[in-house]
Amino acid sequence: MTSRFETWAKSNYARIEQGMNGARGTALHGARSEALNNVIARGLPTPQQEEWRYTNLELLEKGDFTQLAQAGVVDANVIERFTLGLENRAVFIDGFYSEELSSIAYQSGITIQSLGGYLHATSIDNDVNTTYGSIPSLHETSLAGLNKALVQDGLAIVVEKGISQETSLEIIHFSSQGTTARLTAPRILVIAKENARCSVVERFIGGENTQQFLCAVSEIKAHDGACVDYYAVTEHLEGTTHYHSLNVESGRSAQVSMHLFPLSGDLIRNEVNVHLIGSGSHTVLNGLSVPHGKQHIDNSTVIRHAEPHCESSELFKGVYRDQSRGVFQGTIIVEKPAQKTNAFQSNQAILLSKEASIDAKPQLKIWADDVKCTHGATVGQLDEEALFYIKSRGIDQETAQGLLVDAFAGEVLKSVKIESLKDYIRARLS
Amino acid sequence: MLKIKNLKAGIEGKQILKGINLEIKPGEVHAIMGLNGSGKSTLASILAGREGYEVTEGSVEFLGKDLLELDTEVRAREGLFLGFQYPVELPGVLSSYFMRTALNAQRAHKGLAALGVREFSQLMKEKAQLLELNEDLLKRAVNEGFSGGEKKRNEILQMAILEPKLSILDETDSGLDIDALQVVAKGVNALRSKDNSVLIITHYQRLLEFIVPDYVHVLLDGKIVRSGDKSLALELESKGYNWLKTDTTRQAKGTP
Repeated sequence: MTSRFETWAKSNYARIEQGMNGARGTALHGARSEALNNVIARGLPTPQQEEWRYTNLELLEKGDFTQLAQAGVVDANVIERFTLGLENRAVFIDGFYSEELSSIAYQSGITIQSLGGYLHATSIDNDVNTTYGSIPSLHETSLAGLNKALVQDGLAIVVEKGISQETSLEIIHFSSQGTTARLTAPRILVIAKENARCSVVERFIGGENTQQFLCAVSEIKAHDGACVDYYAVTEHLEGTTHYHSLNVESGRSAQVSMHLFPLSGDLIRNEVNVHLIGSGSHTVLNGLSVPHGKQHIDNSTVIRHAEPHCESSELFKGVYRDQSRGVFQGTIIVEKPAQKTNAFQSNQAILLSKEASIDAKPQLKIWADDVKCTHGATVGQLDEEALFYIKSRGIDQETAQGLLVDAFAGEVLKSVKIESLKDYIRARLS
Repeated sequence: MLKIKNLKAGIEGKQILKGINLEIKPGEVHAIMGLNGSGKSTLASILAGREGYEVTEGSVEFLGKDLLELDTEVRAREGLFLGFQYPVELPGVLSSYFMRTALNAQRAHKGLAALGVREFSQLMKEKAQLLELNEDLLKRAVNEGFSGGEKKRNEILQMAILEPKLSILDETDSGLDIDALQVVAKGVNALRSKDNSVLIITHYQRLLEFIVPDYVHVLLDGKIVRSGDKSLALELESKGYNWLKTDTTRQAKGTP
């Protein structure tokens, strides 16, 4: 029997095929159809699967999400309201690159290009070709393949050996307002070659009453000695189901630091896969969820230590209001050769309402014997005694609560290196 | 300033205060002494508005208002201050920001304009100097990693900044070495005036050597069993509380 999911995945795929105008011999075309077949063969994740026990994507069976043929309109004011004001900015609307709204700073040794070009080219840059889609997901029934099959555009950033990026790049994915249920599949690829340094902020912003399934993939390849800072800020107003697969490979003595800020969205599932494949690699993975209403935010992460002397530090915090739900699934894999691993994981949640809830599932899979791994999860309310103390100095309940939430989130914000981003998130907390 | 009449209160159905009567006039310093479990801290908690206590009878009037009707923060803005027995650590909340927010909440309540960062930091500096305190305390997160003595000193600094009309010091002396005790006492004395009152709650008369009270009350089993001047504190020091216990038992049995 053909599932609805299969029908819509195929019809979206067929539409892209048509758009290719017979350019079927492109380098990435084979990867596309292979991905489609895999995704269809596996089907949508179901709640019977261990990794999908807490997050249900069955709505994809019901909705007829279609990729838009062209970008809709986003008011310039809206863009100004959300932007961080970084000089280096790439804007996508409904998955299409907007030349007009973007302003990319030119720097020698750094190539920033629309992925759309690569997707249609018969021969492509070797680095992009070998890296694109090569970092495996460690998650069960990952939907990264769906993106690979249906992606229309995106961005590829290549930083050459020893080059340090001067200004952070902000990539904004806007969704225009509109009543048609749409599918958006944005994708970025960051390649930092040996000893290169760069910083990327990816923003996902969905409009009001936009029925959307956003299926995003971001890939980061940090070669030996490279240093990459990555930030993802998600704030959909209403109606968006957000799936984001972040796949990272970190080489010898490379450093990749990631911060996820799922601030708002009906349903958000972030899957992070980090492979530490060179000795002495060091990664930081931090997150802060602040859902409200009936929002559901799921952060599922896997960090794989494959080589010795690597360090990973993971901290996910969440502040849950109203009837919102949180999920944290954090797995750390330490393979046999990865001796002298240092892995730290912590998940901390504050429930501001009796109806809010969180499911936390930390997991360690250790095959090496000389390692240091710690993990912990805490769930609680704001400390009553602290609230009383603050109020006893003349501060009202709401402000007192705000002070404590700010302080709680502060630990995650501390390691954010872009000041305007820090201020932006802080302002969104209240 | 403060009029407590026949206050009866408890927690989770257990009666702790069994009819307290106490009046504090402007400029007076009162001390309440008593053993553990006599209801001292319960009284402080109820006056400051801590949740979880149930007042079953009696009234508390503060500056002409029904204190028990006011929210905790309003009591503070009206001029009531509780120095905590165990000051709370607020990691990540900067002391100076916290105190400026508190002071400005009080100023707004009184219809005064908010103090800016610069004006506040000037005020803070003055108060710290007055109390001979290290103003570095205010550059840190509230009480985070402070020693016991530092926490208590920080309470006094907060009190100095907020300039309360009535300060209730709940076992401020517990856990303090003699030097810290003197600093705290010095702070309280510096802030004493004919308009401000202080209620000191303590186990020992040690603090009362440095902050000399006008009145001393002994709280036993939820009631004030004896009131007197500072000599009562000395009497307690030498005789302990037992002679008063027998007194009350006798009273309760109706024997003289």
